[in-house]
Amino acid sequence: MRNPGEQPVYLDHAATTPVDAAVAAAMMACLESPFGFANASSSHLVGRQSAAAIEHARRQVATLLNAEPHEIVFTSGATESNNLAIFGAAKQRAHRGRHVVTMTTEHKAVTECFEALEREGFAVTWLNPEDSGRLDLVRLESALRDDTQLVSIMHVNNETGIVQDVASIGAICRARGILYHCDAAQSAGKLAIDVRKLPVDLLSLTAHKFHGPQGIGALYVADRPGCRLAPLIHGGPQERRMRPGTQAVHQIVGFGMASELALARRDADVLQYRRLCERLWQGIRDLPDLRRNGAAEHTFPGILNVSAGGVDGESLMLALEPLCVASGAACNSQSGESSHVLRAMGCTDASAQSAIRFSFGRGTDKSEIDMAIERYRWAVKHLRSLAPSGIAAAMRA
Amino acid sequence: MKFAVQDPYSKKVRGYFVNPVHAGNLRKSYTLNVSAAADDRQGNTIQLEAGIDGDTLQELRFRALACPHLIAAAEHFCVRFEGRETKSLQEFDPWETVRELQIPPGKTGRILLLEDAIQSLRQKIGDHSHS
Repeated sequence: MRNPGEQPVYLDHAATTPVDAAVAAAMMACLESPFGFANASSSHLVGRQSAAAIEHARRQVATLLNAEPHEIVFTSGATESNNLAIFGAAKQRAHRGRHVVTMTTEHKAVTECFEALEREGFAVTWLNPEDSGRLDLVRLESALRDDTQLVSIMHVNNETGIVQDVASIGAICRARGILYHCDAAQSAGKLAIDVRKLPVDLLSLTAHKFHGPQGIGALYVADRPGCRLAPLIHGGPQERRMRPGTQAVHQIVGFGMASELALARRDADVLQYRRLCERLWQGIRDLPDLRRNGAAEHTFPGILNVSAGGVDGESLMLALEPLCVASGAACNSQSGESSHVLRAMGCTDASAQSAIRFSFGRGTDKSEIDMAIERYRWAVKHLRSLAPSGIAAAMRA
Repeated sequence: MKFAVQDPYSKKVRGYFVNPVHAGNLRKSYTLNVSAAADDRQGNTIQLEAGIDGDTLQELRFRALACPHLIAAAEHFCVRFEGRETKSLQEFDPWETVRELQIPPGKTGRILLLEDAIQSLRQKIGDHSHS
């Protein structure tokens, strides 16, 4: 537990990242400029200056993905992008067919869209991962039907860091004329994504996962025949009518700057995450009954997810203070359920309950990892020393 | 900027959680050593042990695989009842524990598990004194 005066150690970058100083400076400059307040849809000079700032940012975001600027639709974040992609595509293509496919391990921002489509009469196929967390491509192929219109499978899982083979998934979909949507909230700005090479039609991203501001994201919509979306809201021509409403200029400017920085630093960042992740895992892996959730060879190194037998997840979170990490325990989720991702990967409920996700960011250093190792080892031993005799004895074995 | 941050754990819960002096097993044999346990479908488990001489609960110990509130409640129980007569166990009031430890409404159900374990302990003590 946290001692008086101890500062929080933030290892929850998969939830959100601190805003880079250069991003904050760009946003402040925008807010303080003579055009930052202007409505970009206005045709007067100040409005046009605002519009120019947005188009500059659009190019920066497009460059991150090697997309064309007009393929970028600004939204409020990945949740909205996922909603727009899934409902927009399903409804636009409903006259052709009403079958859609996704995985049980997707983020709630995707699974709850598919549940809503089910309630509207769409047929949904839910694919389970292998124990490694990856999707069996043969299983995907056998799930596709003549009336399948959309497949939505994420790039990097937000809980485990598992990286799906999006190139192969996209190729399977494209060969059948099925739209492929990829939730890249955890990978955009961190892993190389080239939409000119990757057969993806719709891709969601959000600024705050890579040191940009919260409240701004984008949906990449490929400029291809058949790749059209029905808008979720109505009321104006902005964002090619797919996301009408006055654009938040300073947020978009911050997103653009975060994208530019991510492109420049991405490879160095990932190298650093790999070192930190390995250091942390090597520092705790000898604890008895420890499970690394997700096959290491398929995991994004910015995330390490581990379960420990014989401990309660909520107690583990408290014992880990002042570490700021995420838990798979029901008590720590707003849904009141343990992690659906880990259970789909074959974890028992007890194992999912005890799962802790460590995630690293640009500012994370070795000393923080060493503190995490020390704190995690102490917390697990402390809680196991309190556990009922049979459990405690098994953990000592 | 500073904002008021709500802590889901009271000072007492934090204190008992980090330093549960009654966690573990009885340190010696008494005229009567009794143990009882309770668990639930969520995987929470609690074990209680009582060392009794005459009518006195000389030593109380607990073990728990549980959330911080339940660990703290078990420690609070041991602190309150150790050294008292066995019949005092019937005075255990889960709501007193809830109030004392400031357990939030969503967590009060967990204290029922402790109540179950205490009930079982009372029953076993009663069985021994009648045999």
